[in-house]
Amino acid sequence: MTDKKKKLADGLSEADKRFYSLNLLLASFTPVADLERKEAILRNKLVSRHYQNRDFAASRFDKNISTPLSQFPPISTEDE
Amino acid sequence: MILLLSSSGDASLDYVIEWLRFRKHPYLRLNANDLLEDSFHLSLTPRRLVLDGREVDLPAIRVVWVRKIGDFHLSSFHREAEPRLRRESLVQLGREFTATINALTALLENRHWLTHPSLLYVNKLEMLLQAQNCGLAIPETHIVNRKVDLEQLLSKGELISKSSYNIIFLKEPHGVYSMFTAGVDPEAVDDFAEEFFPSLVQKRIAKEYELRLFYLDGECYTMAIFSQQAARTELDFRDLDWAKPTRFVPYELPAKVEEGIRSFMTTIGLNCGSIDLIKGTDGRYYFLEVNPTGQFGMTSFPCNYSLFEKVAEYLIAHDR
Repeated sequence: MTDKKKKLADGLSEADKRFYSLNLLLASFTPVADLERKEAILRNKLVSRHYQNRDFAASRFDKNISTPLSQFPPISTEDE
Repeated sequence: MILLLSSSGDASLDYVIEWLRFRKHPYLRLNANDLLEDSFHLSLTPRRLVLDGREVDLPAIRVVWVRKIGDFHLSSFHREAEPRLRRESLVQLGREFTATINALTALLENRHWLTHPSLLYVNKLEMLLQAQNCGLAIPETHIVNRKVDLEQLLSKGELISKSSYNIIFLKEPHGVYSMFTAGVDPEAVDDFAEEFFPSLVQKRIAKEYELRLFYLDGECYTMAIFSQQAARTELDFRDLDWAKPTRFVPYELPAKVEEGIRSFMTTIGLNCGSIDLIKGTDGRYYFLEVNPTGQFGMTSFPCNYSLFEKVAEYLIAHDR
């Protein structure tokens, strides 16, 4: 069950470790390629008048399946 | 009229709205961040609400679906204000914003609620106790802050560590640290200090599979997650392997377990929520946690449960 992924605790000094909970100490690192680009895309929210949503996310990354693979939903009611 | 209270980015609302539009049923979506962007006037004397210059017909609202209302730290206002304001000021504004949201929900107190606002944030540990009171099995659970106590527990069997609150992601330049459920490796513990922050640990349950259940008004819509088939998802299915996706299939719980779930949800007063369970290799079903506003698209789509339609139908049925 030993997980060899890099842990948050690996980068902490001995003196600082006592300030953290176990779950934080054991938090594992996941490298994300193009993190900055993905975040920039995620920040670029759209206004969808159709859904009265001003933070409509046109793209999602590294999320579990929460939307079906389908046509892109309308941004405005006039698109329908 | 149905009032939908959430945040702008809540995609679950988008799908329910599609069904409300299809049924031609009147609704009003109110996103918490709209209150920070549009003109907004909430009056207690007389009781009225004006949004973006339009008076909301409060008596016409008979049912309210409340989800992720109030995520101030996720708002674009917060993003813009963060570099300009002192941290203490921003924290204070967050509290004042919560007070405003609470006033808004108090104004609608006598309506029918799908998830009452007082139950939006539940304590994971209290929920474990309540589940146990309702006859559900729960993992052996401890909170410790000394290495010696942790080692004593480890000498009796494997442990897992999870957050006693919602998880966060700590961003680094080229990736993130994720607070998913993690195994407590005795070798790693050797490197920890003798003392640490009070931490939740549970006895590791050897699992056959995980279960995610969406509960709506007495009905359980359950999905089995075969996360134990890959080392990466063995302890937490959210740590997905995109090259080899986990299988999600519809699942029927034993009647006795469903009864326990109903009893639990009724006891705590929730009429809606996402529940995580484990089917152990010992044949028992273990309750892990409930999220009153958990996303349910991940259960609806793979299992073809059409949960967005069911939520819309529930809201329409109570708007009479």
